[in-house]
Amino acid sequence: MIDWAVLGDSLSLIMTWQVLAACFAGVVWGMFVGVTPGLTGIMAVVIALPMTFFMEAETSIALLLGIYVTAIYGGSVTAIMIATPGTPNAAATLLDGYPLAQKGKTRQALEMALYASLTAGILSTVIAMTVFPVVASIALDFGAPEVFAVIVFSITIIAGVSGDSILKGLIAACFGFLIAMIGQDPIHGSSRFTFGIPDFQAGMHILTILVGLFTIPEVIARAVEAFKSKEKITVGEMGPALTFKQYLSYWPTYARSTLGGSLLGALPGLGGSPAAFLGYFLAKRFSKTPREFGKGTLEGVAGAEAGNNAVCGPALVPMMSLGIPGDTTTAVLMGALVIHGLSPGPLLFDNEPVFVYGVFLLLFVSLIFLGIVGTGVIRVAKWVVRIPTSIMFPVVLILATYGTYAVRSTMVDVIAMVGVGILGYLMRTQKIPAAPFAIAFILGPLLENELRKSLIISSGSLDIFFQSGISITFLILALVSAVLTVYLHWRLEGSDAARMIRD
Amino acid sequence: MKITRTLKYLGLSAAAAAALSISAPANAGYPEKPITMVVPSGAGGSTDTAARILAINIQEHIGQPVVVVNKKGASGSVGISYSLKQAPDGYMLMTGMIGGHVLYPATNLSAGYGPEDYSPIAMTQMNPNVLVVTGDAPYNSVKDLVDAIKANPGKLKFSHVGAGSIHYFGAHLMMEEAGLDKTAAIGIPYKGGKNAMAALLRGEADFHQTNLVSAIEFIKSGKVKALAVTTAERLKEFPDIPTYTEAGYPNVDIFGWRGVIGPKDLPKEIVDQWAKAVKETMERKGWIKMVTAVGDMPRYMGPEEFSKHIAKEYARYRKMAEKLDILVK
Amino acid sequence: MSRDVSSANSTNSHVDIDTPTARGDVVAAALCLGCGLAGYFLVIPDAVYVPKSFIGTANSPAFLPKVICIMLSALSATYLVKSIAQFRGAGDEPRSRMVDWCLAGAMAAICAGYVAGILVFGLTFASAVCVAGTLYFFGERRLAVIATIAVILPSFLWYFFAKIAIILLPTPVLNILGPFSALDGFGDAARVLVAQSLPMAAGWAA
Repeated sequence: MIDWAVLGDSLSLIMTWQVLAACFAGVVWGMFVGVTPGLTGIMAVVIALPMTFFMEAETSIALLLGIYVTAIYGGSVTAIMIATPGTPNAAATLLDGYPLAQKGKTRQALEMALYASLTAGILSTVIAMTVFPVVASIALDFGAPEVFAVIVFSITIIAGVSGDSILKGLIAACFGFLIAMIGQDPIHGSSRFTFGIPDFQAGMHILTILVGLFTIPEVIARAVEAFKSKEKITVGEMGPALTFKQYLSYWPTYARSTLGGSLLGALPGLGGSPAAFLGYFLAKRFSKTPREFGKGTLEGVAGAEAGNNAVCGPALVPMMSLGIPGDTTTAVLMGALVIHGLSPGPLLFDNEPVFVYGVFLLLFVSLIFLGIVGTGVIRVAKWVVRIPTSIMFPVVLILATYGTYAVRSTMVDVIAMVGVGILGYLMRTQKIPAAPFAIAFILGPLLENELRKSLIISSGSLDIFFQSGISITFLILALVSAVLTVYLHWRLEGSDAARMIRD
Repeated sequence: MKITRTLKYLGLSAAAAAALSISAPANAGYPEKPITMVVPSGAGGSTDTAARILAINIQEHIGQPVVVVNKKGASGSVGISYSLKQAPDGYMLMTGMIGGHVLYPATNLSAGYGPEDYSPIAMTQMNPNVLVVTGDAPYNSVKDLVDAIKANPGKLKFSHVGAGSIHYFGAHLMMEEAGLDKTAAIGIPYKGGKNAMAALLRGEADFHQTNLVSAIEFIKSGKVKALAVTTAERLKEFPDIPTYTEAGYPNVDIFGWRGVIGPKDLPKEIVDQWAKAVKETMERKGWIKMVTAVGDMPRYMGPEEFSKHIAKEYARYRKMAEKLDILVK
Repeated sequence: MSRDVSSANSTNSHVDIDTPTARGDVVAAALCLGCGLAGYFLVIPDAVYVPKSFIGTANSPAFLPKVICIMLSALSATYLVKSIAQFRGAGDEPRSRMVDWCLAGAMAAICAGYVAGILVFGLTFASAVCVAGTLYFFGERRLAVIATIAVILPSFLWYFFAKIAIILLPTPVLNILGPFSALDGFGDAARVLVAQSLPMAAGWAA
């Protein structure tokens, strides 16, 4: 399905030193911003944006693609090392990456994240390139009821990341869903839970919630620990390197995450974080050791990172064929296309095939550069792990605050971050898991939106969800997944019913 | 090639600098330092791009660099409320847009600001709206569509990007002008214009009124048909698209715009100095080239005309919001 | 987490703050139930605006919030019943130390104080004070280390956010650090130079 002659032209289009240099610069810049807590990928793009106006189309796209690919990975470095997800995509990586680092396996976790990202990134780009028309049609095949069914399926992830008590997980999810409802109602535009605060109209930002749920409780817990202990605690060791055998042993995980992530990526406007959680969930569901998840397993890191990077290739397809960006970075990428007269739309692929293939080739180039730069970053990380806890966490608190503020430059976000942080710490003392909260926060609004849209389309009739094969399939999958999760949980924990609450 | 261009540019900028120094500004001293331009939407969006294009080009005409900062949220109201609280000294202005400056306060009683709280300086560009249906739809004119809605009240659907958006008002204005009830066709809200367009292609919606730039590629590819455009005369680029005036609904003249707006009580000298600088900037080839590239049409309105336009629009949408019961408390 | 429980038991009737106790579960469940019920009966009628002309159920802005509050109440009630049963069965249970709670409370207070400090004194100054205080709390006693971090970190962040990323910093009530508290527009020479020279290079401006 690939036109090789066109591909050759695309190759010669991008193989100029300007394009390659811009791509490399994008990767380095994206990595710097990505691994510095407090600086988010969005900022990397905003700073680079004005320059792209004046570059040739392919050069500016190369720069932005470099940032795009790296920003997805970069957030996971801070998630693993200091429990601060740099991007929403990294929240799922944190669940096992941070415990791994605590166990002294920082290096393995970082390398797993990098190689899983590269593998899934390359596989998903191959998918997007070879079956471009199929991927493009997914966006049009999935209407509101179909997307609703996919999200219902994804919601069952909550039970899978609830730790030892599904009940506590579901309670946390309810809170996440309610917090996500702050702001404008998606259908009527009326205000909900805003209490007259103008900034609440815009709703809570996902990074505010993630820093509040994961970083602030960690800082408080470390403060208690550090205050009581007499000697200085260091974060830990880099630990051994990831072996090639270990990398290979997770290939089914990469494959599953790539398929799941590619599907979610092809759906317009979902972004990478649902895919990361889906990848994590799939890894756990098919794992031989599901109980290790959440306590530090490479399989979890592999699933999550492969999942969110599998989005990057397919997400470009609805961006180019319909003009619907998946997240802020893709939105800027699209802006750069437009300003160079390459308007996204159904004709872009027919009129500019050389350019479209060029974009995918640049994605490969970016991934290769990411591999090189990422390996270098892991080398540098060994100095970071030697910083004592007593210095690390106070600095993390400041950086997290700047990062939260800078996303939308509003103090309301910082206040909310501290509020959610204290809530998160209280949840932690009672082992009420934070992950379901985060997932419900991400998926809840999508679920509500698609549900209510479907009901408007069907004039209130529920039949609409059972009219297409796609939505029926996903609803059945959701049911199977939910039943299976509860059953497996019951079988694992049922022998000791008391554990349900105790742990 | 590049070198000659650069030389040409240097020559021009030297000439511009000379011109600037001759015609000393009315209020001596302003601007003494760089000016901040608040964009009430996210980086990379069309409003942001418009602001950055203006900021880059206007430097020579205003005499100081213009720094663009983004403050997004709640249809632009977060950034606008913030800017309106700043001192009216001319060092913090904002990019005006129909959504945040007119539609949001017109539909939200709790917005905290209205047109009387800011000083419109100049409109820079506009974007007409078009009424579109799918390429294989049985409607070939506005009349066909109106007849179909009349024949099947409450059956046809249109996609928009949320109650109170220009897409929403556009479709309702058309229905109102055609003498149809507000429930004659049902609106479905989507996140963003392109998702609303995708809904049309998917068959979830029967018609959609949107800004021209979102529809261009789809019209060209034949996936959608444009039934009417909101400009008074036909567009040069699309002579085949009839206007609403031709269809008999001249009042459906809704269009999106962007411009420069300052806080309340901005001194008249500063307003005039900016309006002049904007006018000069709009003659630059670089500005025109970039603005047309993003799909807008240059359209200048001075402070008085712009203020009148905003007041008129605000009154119209407030009235419609009341009628459609989408006014938020 | 059974390790924690056993070790706590051996140290006689005290557990780590992170170890859930049946008593804690009862309190948490009661709080969650309270949130669910208060949300349904008090908050939603007041804080969710439903347009007057609205007809229908599932599509009301208040529908899903209500559903979630009912779910939350039901789940919390189950949790409460289970945890009370657990609590009765547990007998004399180890408690977490009061001092741990005080320390956690103190750290939370530092975070809250930091936010208040930002609002009053601006981001740069508040961060310098907060990082110094937090370092001390974490057991860092070398004055030179504290001072160095307290000066360098906020300065770097100020430069990056105000000058490179061009982000509007919060406007403080008391502006003691002057321009270092907020974006003031000066010193953007490098960026402006880049912005002006690039159009030349690309030939856009001519």
